[in-house]
Amino acid sequence: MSHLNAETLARLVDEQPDALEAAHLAACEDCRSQLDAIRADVQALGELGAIEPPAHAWGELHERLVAEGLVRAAPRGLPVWMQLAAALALFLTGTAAGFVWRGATLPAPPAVAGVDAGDPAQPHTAMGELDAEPDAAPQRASDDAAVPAAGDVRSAATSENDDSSVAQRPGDARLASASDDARGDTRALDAQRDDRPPQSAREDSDRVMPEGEPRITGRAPADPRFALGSYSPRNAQEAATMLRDAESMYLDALAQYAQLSGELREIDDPVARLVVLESIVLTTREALARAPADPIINGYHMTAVAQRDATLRQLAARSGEPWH
Amino acid sequence: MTDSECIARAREGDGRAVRELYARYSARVYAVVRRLAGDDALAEDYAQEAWVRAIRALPSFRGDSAFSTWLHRIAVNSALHGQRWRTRRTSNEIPLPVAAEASRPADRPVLRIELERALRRLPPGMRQVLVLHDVEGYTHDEIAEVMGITSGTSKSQLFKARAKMREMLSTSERDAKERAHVTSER
Repeated sequence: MSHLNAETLARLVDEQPDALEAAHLAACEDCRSQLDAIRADVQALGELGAIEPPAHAWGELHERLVAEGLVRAAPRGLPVWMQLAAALALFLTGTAAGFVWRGATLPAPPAVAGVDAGDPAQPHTAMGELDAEPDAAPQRASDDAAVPAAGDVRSAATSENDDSSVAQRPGDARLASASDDARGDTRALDAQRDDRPPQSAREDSDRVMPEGEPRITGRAPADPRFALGSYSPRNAQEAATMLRDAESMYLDALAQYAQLSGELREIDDPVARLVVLESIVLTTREALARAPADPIINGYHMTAVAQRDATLRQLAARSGEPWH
Repeated sequence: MTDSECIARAREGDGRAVRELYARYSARVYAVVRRLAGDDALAEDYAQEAWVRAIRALPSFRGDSAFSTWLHRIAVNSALHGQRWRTRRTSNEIPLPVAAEASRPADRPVLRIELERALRRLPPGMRQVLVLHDVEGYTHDEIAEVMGITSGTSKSQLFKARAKMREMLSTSERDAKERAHVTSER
């Protein structure tokens, strides 16, 4: 008895078998199994997700749209804190959603957000996909220095002491106080971070989210005032209030991100980690588009990209193939 | 800002509104053009072309369908048009052998990567029909319309594509099992 050919089996994913085909399928385990495999392929194809375009794509598109007279150059209307807050809010919403939507199990929030302090002098992130202003990257480093060699999966964020962990970006722990001082001047923030000696994880996390202070738990940053381009303050007092609220929102968002990052490290399955990291990369990239000069988001983005790539390498190393 | 508000502002040349639309839909646009093109560099070109066409055509968008649907169709058309144009220019190109690449285990965790890889290795016509039908959910009539082929051809290409995909994935699975066997014997 000859088997049903592959194209016939592929057709039977969508159509009913005729009498002969049905009889054969009933009798032939090989063909049934092959049909099941094709069905699984088709189902998996239907579940393939969206793919984020390269970071530089928007810049090139925007240039072309401007050149063709299809868009005007965007005015810089919002105060810097509002832009940053809107960007981070977006980024944080997506990051948190990434944990939930992708089915990763979130552990209970830690008593104190886990934030490791890396060595500020040690670059550990990739810049390959970063679409940011040159002076906006406080930890720019060559890719060679930033990304572990192919096959080196030790840095793949599976180690608790790994320097490339999302949460351990140098300066994370200074975010609250540094941001207070900087008042939107990101260069000042860079300088503060660079001068800061390394600190322990607990010291850092304590400074971000001191014991006794309210925890941020999935705050939805939906304040319509911060939707870009949708609201303008009516007077100086309202502008000042918005500024204060935006700053507060920005700091809250950073603290929550630190907490999420700590939880990320508890996901052992590299595929689940990859999914979450991909989600973080997409959202940080989007946030960067809103606030390209923000060093904090740049840092998170770079670290997430490095971690994602390291996780990809880890997966590829399993099969002995190049990861790219 | 809702899609309608973004669209209204984008029609007026508001760069922020265009950026907002891009932020919402660029990943979906890029995904479909990349899978249709089977190539990253081409995908960037097709995606950009799709966005320019869409922004240019915004004044004619009446909202009869969702913006995402309208944009998706423009993206598909841009990619197919680009591929046709490219095929005419490179008609003597020899397709890559299907089994030329090394394989990797097709266990569930890496299935997505395997599928994307297999998609890229399919001949263009099969890949486009498979992407439109099995990934994007187009009917054969819709595929026939956008690709300028008959519905019957679309079906035939789809079944061939699925069969080839299965062949490639089976090879990967077999290799993975052999590799695992060798590893366990060491």
